[in-house]
Amino acid sequence: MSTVLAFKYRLIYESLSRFSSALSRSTTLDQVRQCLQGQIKYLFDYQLVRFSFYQQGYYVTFSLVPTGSNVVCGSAGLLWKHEQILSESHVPAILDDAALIADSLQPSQLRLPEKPTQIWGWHVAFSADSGLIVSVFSGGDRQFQPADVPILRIAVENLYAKILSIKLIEELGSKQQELQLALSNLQEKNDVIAQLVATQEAVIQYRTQELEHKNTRLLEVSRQHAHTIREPLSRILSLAYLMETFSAEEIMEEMMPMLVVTSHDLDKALQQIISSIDADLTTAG
Amino acid sequence: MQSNYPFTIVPYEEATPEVKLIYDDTKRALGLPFVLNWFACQGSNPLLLQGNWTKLRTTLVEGSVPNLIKQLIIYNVSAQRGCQYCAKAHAVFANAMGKSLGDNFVVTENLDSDLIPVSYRTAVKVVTKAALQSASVTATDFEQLADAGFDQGEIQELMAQADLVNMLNTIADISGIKIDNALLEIDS
Amino acid sequence: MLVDDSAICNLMMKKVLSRLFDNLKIHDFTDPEVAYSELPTINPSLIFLDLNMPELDGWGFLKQMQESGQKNRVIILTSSTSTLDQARCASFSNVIAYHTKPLTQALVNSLMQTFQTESFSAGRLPATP
Repeated sequence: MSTVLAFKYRLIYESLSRFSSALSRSTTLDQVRQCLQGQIKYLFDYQLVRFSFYQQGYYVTFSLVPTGSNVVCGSAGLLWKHEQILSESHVPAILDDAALIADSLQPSQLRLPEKPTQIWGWHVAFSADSGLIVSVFSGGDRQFQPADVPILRIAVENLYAKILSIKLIEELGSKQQELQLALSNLQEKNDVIAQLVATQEAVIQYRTQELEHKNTRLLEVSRQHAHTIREPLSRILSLAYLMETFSAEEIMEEMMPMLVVTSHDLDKALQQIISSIDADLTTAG
Repeated sequence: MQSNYPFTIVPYEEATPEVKLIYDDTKRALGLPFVLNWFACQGSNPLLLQGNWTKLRTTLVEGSVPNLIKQLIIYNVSAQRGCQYCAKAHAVFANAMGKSLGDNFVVTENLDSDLIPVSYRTAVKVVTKAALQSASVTATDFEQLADAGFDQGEIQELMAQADLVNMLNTIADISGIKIDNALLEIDS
Repeated sequence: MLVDDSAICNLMMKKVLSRLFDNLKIHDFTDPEVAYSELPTINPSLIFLDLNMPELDGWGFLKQMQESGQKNRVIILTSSTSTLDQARCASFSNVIAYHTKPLTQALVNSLMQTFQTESFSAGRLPATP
């Protein structure tokens, strides 16, 4: 290994470890962008770097020039021209078609130091529906070189793992929010049901009380009726029992009129009861 | 030259408790099991020692720019100026973090290689110029650093290495300290 | 003293009692209010009291007696067979017996016995037949 290459790796060794630790401290996509902005310049030279993460149709693209950077999330529409090619082919390529480079850079809002003459591009698929398309725009004083490829590869693997974990945490967070929401919905429904049950209980209690009251009233009424009937009836019985101790004359002259009056009283009492029951039934009906 | 007044070497064992605290802080921050001569030669003046150590720590040890770039800048300036103590010490610090660069390794020559990222090359080049020819620094130099990807905070931190290395070189040269034997043992 | 809103009941009792005791003085009332107002004047040795009566019923009558401290003995004679009523009588110390109508010969006999015993113990023995 040449002295200068040894020196290069000596530098990169430290820079990569700094990059890894800065990346591991990032917890949001914007912190990842800041980390890339701060650290990539110590790893290799570039006019512009693109890191386009994708998973199941969801895209996160980082664009980076020495003096600025941005991160955008969205659909496959975010991919630049050359990325669309890489997306399909999966074949690493050094593209030097000036028209394609210009075409690709059209959506870019960042200021490149110089006009790039090459795009070094890889499509690294980490699973069937997830991966990272990385491209380095090289040219002028900032030439990307073969010696930089293994360094870029390490950076890409670190970056992919980080984006994936941030995305997972976000998904977990939103799932948890959904669960929380579902839980509070359930709680609300539960409260409504509890309230209904409580109301129902109150209604039942009220009805029960009403029934009890009616029942008591019914008993009172029937007791009253029994008394009303028993009073003349007991008189009739009294007369009947005493009859034998009296003389025929006494019976004829005194007891019989009493019996007639009392029998009428009984008849009146019965009629009164019947009409009172009738009245109750009519109002209840 | 060690007898030169007032730069008497004050070994750890002979230092006052106050100075010992500062010595301990240098050992802790630099990860060294001994006190560098650069600090020991200031051990008789705790006030200056504290101030100079604070400047060194906040400029070189702390901050967001990679320490290796800073060590390379200090090595490069010290070597070009001819401050042997600093050139040797900071080559050791730079090497201690990885593979030895070899005795005849000249950082500036290798730094010119296209293999080394522009950020390193620009930082060492511009800050070396700022240290050795401060008056010739222009807006273009700052633009170069910005174009290499350094933000305002990083540029300020890089430029601070220029005045740091000048202080380091000056104290090392006028005190006449020799390279620490223990430091040489680390490098061998 | 007979207190019953049914005149026929009073009539029957009067008939039965006068057959049993020749010299017995009987006062009968169909209006309990009037009966109560006459109570101090008559000061009867025994009162036959009906329970179910309009205006002032047997309970009200007993209560008034209790409140004014009148201790005349009372025999309840009612058509009510309610055990509740019977139990309630226990709270009046001057009620010595509770009987339900109809009047039978046996009942009359037992009334007579009670009457004699009570009268005797009270030292106001009426003339025997």
